[in-house]
Order: sequence, then C-alpha cells, then structure tokens
Amino acid sequence: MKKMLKYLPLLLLVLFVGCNIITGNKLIVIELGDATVEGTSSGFEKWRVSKDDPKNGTWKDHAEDIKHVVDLGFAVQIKNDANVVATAKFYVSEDSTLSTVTEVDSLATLVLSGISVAANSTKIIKWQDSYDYLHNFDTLKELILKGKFWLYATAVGSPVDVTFHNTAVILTINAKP
Amino acid sequence: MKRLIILCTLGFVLALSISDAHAIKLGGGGFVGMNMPVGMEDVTMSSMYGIKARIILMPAIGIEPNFIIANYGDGEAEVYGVTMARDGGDISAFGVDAVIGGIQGNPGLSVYGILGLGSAKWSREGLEDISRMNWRLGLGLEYGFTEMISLDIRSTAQIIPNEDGTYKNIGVTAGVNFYFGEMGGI
Repeated sequence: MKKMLKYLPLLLLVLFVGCNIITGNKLIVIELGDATVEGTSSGFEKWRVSKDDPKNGTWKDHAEDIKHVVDLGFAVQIKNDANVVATAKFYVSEDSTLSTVTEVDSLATLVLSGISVAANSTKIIKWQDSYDYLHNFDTLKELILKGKFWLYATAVGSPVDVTFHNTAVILTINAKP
Repeated sequence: MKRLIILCTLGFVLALSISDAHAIKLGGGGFVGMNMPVGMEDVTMSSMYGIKARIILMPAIGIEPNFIIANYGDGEAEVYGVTMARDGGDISAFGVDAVIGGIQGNPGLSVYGILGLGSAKWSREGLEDISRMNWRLGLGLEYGFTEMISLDIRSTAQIIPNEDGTYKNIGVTAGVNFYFGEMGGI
C-alpha cells in the first residue's frame, strides 16, 4: 500500500491532464454590422449568421467537435431617429425568405424582446444587458449546433426610423481545444 | 450511475478503515484562496473559500466532508473594439474528499494527495443553474505548529462534467486545521 501511495501524485497529475485536454470553453464574437429599418409603422432587417462566414473561423474550426453551447448573448446599439418611441425585437429562423414583419412575428423564434427606444435617442445593449431581454435559449443552442441561421431585427413606430449599429452575437461553446 | 460511484467510493473507504483497528482522529478547518478557470475563455480568475471536517480513519487515510464557494471573475469579450463584460457566476459545491498521505497534523511538514467526489452548482446571471456531480484531485502541504493546529496549503483541480464536455478550475487555498481529539478504534 505504501509503495502505491508514492505514485499517487503522478496518477493525479496524469488524470487531470487527461481530463483537461478533452474540452474547453471557447468564446466567439460574431460581428454582424449595421442595418436600418425605415417605414410608416414597422419594418425589419436580417443577417445571415453562419459558421462558414470567413470571419467566424473559430466557430467553423470547432463545428465538428462542439460538445454543447454554454452561453449566448448579444450586443447592439439601437438608434431611433424618429420623433416617437420605437420598439425593437430580435428573432431567429432557418428560413431566409420571411418577407414581412407579420411573417417574422409568426414564423420565427423570438430571442430578444422588451426593447424600447425613446424618440431621437440611442439604446446601448451590452453583452451582460442582453440577458434582460433574452428568450428561447434552447432554440438558439440548437441553431448554433446546426451551424447556420438568420437573425431578424424588427422595429415598430409611427413612423419608424431605427438603425441597428454594431450588432453582434457573443457565443461560448464547449469544444475540444 | 452516480449512486453506484458514491457507494463504491464509500465502500472502498469503509473497507480500508475496517482493515485495521485504529483510533479515529477528528479535526476541521477553513480556507481561502484563488479560483482559476482552466481552458474557459468566458470567465476569469477570482476567489474561493470553504470549510471542511477532517476524519482520519487510518494513519495515512482520511476523509474530508467539505463545502466550497468558488467565484468566477467576469468574462470579457472585445466587440467592435469595445471590451464588454459578462458575469462569471459562482460555484457552490459540497462533497467528500479522500485524503491520503501525511494527514496526521503532526508538528512539521507533511504532504498528502486528495481525491474527491461531490455535487456542484454553477449559478450565472441570465442562465439556468448547472447542477452536476464533480470530481476533485489535488495535492496538499500541511505544516503542524503543534499537535492541534496546522497550516494547510493545497492545490485542487475541480472537474464538472456537463453534457459531453467538462468545466474545470484549479483552487489554490491556504487555511488552518484544528485537531480536536480522537475517538476509539473501530
């Protein structure tokens, strides 16, 4: 027994190194850019979010060995240039052909809601803030594992003149190093 | 599966303990230190603290029921050139460690190994809590000032399996152990 105990520290080290190389948490920032929604009452814009985008190399590199999606948040600056309050929502869908706000509302999955922007002002939603508005995390996880989806942003006002600046998805996956 | 592992571990400890009649030495203590995430880009280093009991079953084998709070520092991401932060959350864990080696709390320096099993819960703002069984592996150094009080410095790796992956952190802590006395042999 005493002889075996001598090798215990080495065994512990080997066990830990063995477990350590299996997976780690990778942080991926997906920058989507800007989009403007103008209209008499509502409108929408969309971005393609894909691991195949050359900017998303880390996601693509780990796409085959993602163990699970740990965390997902958003960042965006929403500028309202109208003289009335605007409300904004974000949706996700695998369908790129949704063509009206009504279709987006009814067919896509709501992921951010409750965002209200005062007239002629800008609302800044940082990574941490986005969890106050986040819904349907499980659907988002499924779409990340599939590797491609569309992010729709809708804005409603009378009239609506909203610009989504510096829109980003901040993703954490658990994957092989 | 979890129950089986726990039963096997307890059975192993029991088998070792009944293999030799020996008085049980009792102690306990508290510790504080640093919690360092391993391979986790979404959180940063922060603090760790906890309490434990030490039950020495044989001269070189004991068990330590314990409760630990391990904080994670905020994660940081560079988004369009702006650094944004995200709550790292904290892990509360309880379990039982088997400690093997120089664990008598005798005056002077001794070294021991740690192998533990328990339950950990990672709570993070905006996400559902993750509650899982966890494993702990580590090494400790104990310096006994007297037969009743010792300084205990240890490094412990905590591994939390989740779905197909794992979350890992290393805690480096310093604490004080107090030894209360002995119970009769078993």
